[in-house]
This record gives sequence, structure tokens and C-alpha cells, in this order.
Amino acid sequence: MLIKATHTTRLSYSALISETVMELRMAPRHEPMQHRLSFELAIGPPTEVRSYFDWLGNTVHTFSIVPRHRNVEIVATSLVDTSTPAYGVDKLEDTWPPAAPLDYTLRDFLRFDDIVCQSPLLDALARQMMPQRPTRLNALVRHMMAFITENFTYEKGITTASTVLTEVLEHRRGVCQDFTHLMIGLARMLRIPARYVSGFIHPGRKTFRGTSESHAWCELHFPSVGWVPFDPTNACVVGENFVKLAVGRSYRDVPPHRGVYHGVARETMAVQLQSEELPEVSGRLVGERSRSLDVPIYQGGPDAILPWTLDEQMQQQQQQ
Amino acid sequence: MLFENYQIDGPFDEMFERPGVPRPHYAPIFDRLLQQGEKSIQQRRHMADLCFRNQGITFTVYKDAQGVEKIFPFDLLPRIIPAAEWQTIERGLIQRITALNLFCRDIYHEQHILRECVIDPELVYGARMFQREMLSVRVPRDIYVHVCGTDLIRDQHGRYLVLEDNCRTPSGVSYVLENRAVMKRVFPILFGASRVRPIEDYPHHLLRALQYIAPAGRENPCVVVLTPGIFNAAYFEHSFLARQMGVELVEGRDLLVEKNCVYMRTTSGLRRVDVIYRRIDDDFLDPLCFRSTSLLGVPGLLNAYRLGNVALANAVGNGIADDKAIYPWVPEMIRFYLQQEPILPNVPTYVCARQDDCQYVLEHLDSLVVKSTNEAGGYGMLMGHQADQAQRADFARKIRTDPRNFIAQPVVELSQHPSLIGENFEGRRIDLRPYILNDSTIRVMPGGLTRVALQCGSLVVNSSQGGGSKDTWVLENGAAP
Repeated sequence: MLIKATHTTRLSYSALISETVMELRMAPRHEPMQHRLSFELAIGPPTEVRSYFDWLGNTVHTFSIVPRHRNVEIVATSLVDTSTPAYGVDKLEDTWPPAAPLDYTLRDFLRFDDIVCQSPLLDALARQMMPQRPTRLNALVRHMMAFITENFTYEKGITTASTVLTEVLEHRRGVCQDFTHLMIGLARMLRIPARYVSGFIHPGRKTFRGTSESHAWCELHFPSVGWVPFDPTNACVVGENFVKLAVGRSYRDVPPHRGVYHGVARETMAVQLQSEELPEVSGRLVGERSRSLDVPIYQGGPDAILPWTLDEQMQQQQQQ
Repeated sequence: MLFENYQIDGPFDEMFERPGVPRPHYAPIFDRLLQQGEKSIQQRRHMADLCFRNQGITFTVYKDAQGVEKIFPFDLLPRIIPAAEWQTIERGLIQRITALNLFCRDIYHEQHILRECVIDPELVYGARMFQREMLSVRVPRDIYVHVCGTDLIRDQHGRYLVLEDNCRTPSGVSYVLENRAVMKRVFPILFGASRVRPIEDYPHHLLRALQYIAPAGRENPCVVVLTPGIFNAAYFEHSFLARQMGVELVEGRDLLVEKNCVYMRTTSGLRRVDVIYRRIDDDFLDPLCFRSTSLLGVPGLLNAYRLGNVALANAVGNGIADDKAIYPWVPEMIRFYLQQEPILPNVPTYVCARQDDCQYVLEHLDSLVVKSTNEAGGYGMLMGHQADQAQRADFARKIRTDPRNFIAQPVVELSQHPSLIGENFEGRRIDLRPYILNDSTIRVMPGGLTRVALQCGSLVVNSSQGGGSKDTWVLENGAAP
């Protein structure tokens, strides 16, 4: 499936700020089932963008804006070609508990952190999930997803980008980010390596144009084929309309943007994601490119006296 | 007087073979002290104390209600190491630092040592100082440990053992240089006659090692020393080293990142920085990368580093090399990477992350020294044989909660050396921290910081715990006797 997506982020500040330093994880990953044909990043005020792969293989773009400014605008446009694997998830023969010991590099995806954290509530749920005898791994995962759908309610506005799993377990409500953390937490309790995926869904073949939203799902490790994606929010296997931007141990590793700036200001954020399916690869592929947007800067040097603000509260929650 | 009541029936004595009979390399100084007599010694001590006060040679103690800055106690009588003995130490340290550097490189790239099960991967992946962000990142010239301070002690037989490595931000070298400067003034004739190897070129070599890692194509690279600020225990040293090298001393807020290069704010505008000798822990270096809320660091610094636009010494993530739970495997690293037998042995160590070891430690808390794996300066430590029941119970609880964070070692009787206590010399326990520089050639400064546990009978030499220091004389080859 050929998908073209435009991801627009507008940040505005109530006062002038300076020395914004930002990292973006907005470029679709290169994967066997997903090819990034082109990626363009437009940023304003004008700056210079560099990119690197982080330790999880995600493409990270980084830039800074030193002069004073009141707005930052980021438009990421990508064209990806996605497909689904030849194997059907339901055909996978992997068993639980796994037959062979895990490679040590997978142990990072069994560890709990301060978002996907252990708690008596999670412990109780995991015990409920735990099969009494060896079973097929895919059946166990289906069971987990059905359990989540049955016992948790999708509801916006209850949680934020920094909500931890313990809180979700208490009120049993949340958005895809929370559902994903929950699924990861349960899988890790059952010693199944699990990782977080940040991305978006193209609404589907019915509408060729439409507004999508940032989405999150997870991948569980099946020894026979590797990472297999599941969407606990929609209780389904992931299809070719899912575009994968970054993977990590939890949301912490993958926010679409993360920044630090100098100054004291209130930040507001507007995010828009638009996607469309293309019938064929267009001739105007850009490869990788960055360009500037016309967003103003203001006179006056950087102000070293003002404190730093770590832009954590205003990260993009993955909602849909 | 002087040595009359000196006891040498305990641990290994550095100076005396038998009561009243000094070891050959101490004979000249022993004779001289006896000739000069008590009064002259007291005068010299007074002179030394004045020097230290006037020059403001201080360190800072945390959690101390009254005035945090203290004069570093200086002990007049130098420690002397004969040339041959030093050669062994030097070879041992070069071997060790070479292996530690290869270990860091391996861990952040191919991980051969983990894949071949020489070291349990869980120990590395569970290490707090293991920085996943550094995986696959090439650091300039593949050097991870540029400046190292390795602590050596001597057991009852006088054998040198490695107690720990300090690969992150080892401090104390400024005191070595200051101690030497003071000694030269206080004992000019004795010093001149003793043929002591010079150490004054350390700042020169440090600067060379830092310039060596500058990004390619940068002529006259701009080097700075990055300090957490005046409240840091080692602020004196940070400013001292910057002054000695003739480079700027900066705090995080003096630097900024633009277009993935690091700049320093100066009165005449921004100036590009090429090499940062950072004396700030990894976690505080870059709030963007390490998510700290601290103001000490520079946002975007890690991106500039990753892209090769700035060099950092020591390298980010090298804390896996001096993690105390990984220390027991250093001899294995030497065998694995260098196919050599370690020249300097380790102290036997129990790693609480292993279940058997942990059980043993919990059962023998009253005879072991327990250390937290990532603390320095004698913080987070239990001297089992001196602790009371409540302290031991407290540690047992901590160990059970987080075994990965603790190791234990049998009490090693550090060697003793005469210290001037009041009117007389008395035996006090000492260790030795030599400083090693690495710019592809590894250089060990002859001598190092000899720390003294000034409390009678104490085995804790850390300055933060009431320790002092003395000058360390490494004799030239062929020096008397």
C-alpha cells in the first residue's frame, strides 16, 4: 500500500523563548514490510537539520533554533510503501513458555521502567492471564487482547502523555498509548519480550483521503519470526495501513518530538496528521530533504539568565 | 622522640623493616629527620600548613552543616616508591587501562565478551551507567578512558592490589601537584638530593591528550573544562586544571549548541568549542538526551558529540568500566582482550547480583566491607566489623531489595606509613591513586595521590571521610640506594 502522510506540528509560546533544541522521531522506519520512499522535513524558523539512527534503529532528526522566537513549526511529509508478512499470525507455532532461552539483547524488552512499572494490580492481572499449561503463543496474545477490550474503556482526556501504567490500572480508562503500555506490561510479566511502536493509521481503503491521528501499538517477540505487531486498542493484528515511525521500550523512547528551550512561557501545541493512499509511485520523489518554513525570529541575543524548560508535558500523546 | 613509640607489629609497614631499621629507600630521609630533630620538623609542618591555607587548597564535604569547604589535610612525611617497584605498577596499570578501554569499545559495538559468555550480559545491561544511547556510536580515536585514577592498596605482604578503578571523573590530581609544590619549598635540600621523578608536566600531557581527540581538521582546537560549579567537591581541582592548562573553565550555562556544534558564550561573541574535559556525570550532561531536569548540562550536547562535532573526555558511558559489580571481571577482560595474565591482582569480591555470593554476604556482614556499586568517595559503604547491629540490618535490607547495587569484599589490611601526629610519628593506613592519561599512548604519572586515613586504626582514606594526603616520591632509576 502506498501511503503519503503529512504530519504537522505547531508549537506556540506565550512569551519569547530562545535556544530551542529538538529531536524528532517522525520519519517512517525502514523495515522489511515498510519502505520509506521519500521523506521531507520542513522547519521554521529556518535552521539546519541533521539525522542519525538511535540505538533502537529509529531515525532521529535534530535541530536547534538559537535566536528568540515565539513559534516553531514542523511539517514532516513521507511516502511509504507498506505490506503485510506472508505468514499469518494464527499459523505461528511458537509456544509459551518459550522452548529456548532468550537472546540477551531481548532482555531490555522484559525490563520494567518508570512508565511500564510493576505493581500489585499488574501482578494480579498477569496471574489471571497466566496459562495453567503450555500453550500456543498466538492464542495467549489473542486472549490478552480480548481481556483488555473487555475490561478497559477507551476514553480521551483521562490520561496524558506521561501517565504511568499503575494509574491506568486503577481507573481502567485511557487511550492507545495506555492500552499499549498495559499490553506490554502484561506480556513482560509473562516473560514475553514486548516493545512500544509509535506510528499512525491510514483510515483505510474506503476513504482515499482523510485525517489520521498519531497511534501506538506494540510488538511481541515470537522466536520463529521475530517481532510481531498487535494493536491492543483495536484488538487486532496490524495491517498494511499501519505506518511505523519508531520503536522503544515504552513511550519514553519514541515521542515524535522532544525539546528543551530557554525561557519561561506557556506552550500550546496543535498537531495534524493527514494521509492519503496513492495509486502509484509519483515521479517527484524527494528522497531525503529538509527545507525551511517562514516562521519569524526576533532581535536580541540569547538570554543565558533564563532557566531551561524541558518540554515534557506538551509531548504528543498518542491517542487514537 | 619522633619514632620512639612507633609500632610496626600490625600491617605491612612502608618505611620500616624492623623497629628502628628503615627500608633502604627510606634510609636517607630517616637519617635526615633524626639529624634535624623535632623542632625543625614542627617548623616545616607549620610552613606547609600555611602554604595550604594561603593557596586555598580545599575540597568540599557534602552533608556538612558547618562551612562546606575544607583545607585538605596534608601529611608531611612523603611516601617513597623505589624505581623497580614502580615499574611493575606502571606496567600493571597500562595493561589494565588498555583492557578497560577495549572493554568499553566492545560493549558499545560488537559485544564479543558478552556473546562469548565471559561476562554475564545481565551485569552490563543491568548497570546503571550502561548508556544505550552510546551503542554503535564511534567516539574519537576509539578512546573511552582518557583520564583514569586507579586505587591501589598493599596487603599484609606488601603486595599491590587494585581496589577500584575510577574511569568517569577521577579527582585528586590537583592535590598531587600542590603537595609536590609545597614539599619542594618545605624540604628543598632533601628533595633535591633524592632524585624524585618529576610530575609537573601532568597538565601539559592532559592538554595534549585532550587536543588529540579534537574533531578532524580543527587547528588549534579550543579545549574547555566543564564543571558543575562552585558547590562541587572538586571545584578547586576544576579551576586548578583549567588554569594550569591555560583553557577556559565553563559551566553548562556558558555553552550552547547551534547547528549541532558547541559554542561558548564569551564577551566577544560565540566561540566554537572542540573538546570538553567534562567533570559532570553522564546523567547531567544533556537534559535532552538523559532527561534530567538539572541545569548543569548543555541541551543538544550529545547530538553534537554523536555527529563528531565535539569531543568529550572521558567518553560518555565509560562508567560500565568502573562499575564495582563488573570490577571482579577485569582480570578476565585482560585475558580475553590481551591474552595476558594480569600484573596487578584484584581484591577478592562478592557480587550480590549472584545468588550464592549474596547469600554469603548476608551471612557474613560482620566481617565484610559492603560497597554500593556506583558510589564514590566512601559514601554508601558499610565496614561490617565496625558497624553496629542496626547499621548491618539496614544494609541487609538494602542488599535484599537491590542486590545488583552491592558488592562486598573481605577487609584488607591496608599498609601503614608514619604520619606526623602531634609531636611524634605514628602509623596510619594509606592507599595510592596513580593517574593515567590515554592518548593512544598510555602514560602513568609517576606517583599519584597517597591518601592517609588520619584517624588512628581507620581503614577509610577518602577525603570526604576525614582522610588526608601526602606527597608520593617515585625514585629515578639508579637513585640511591
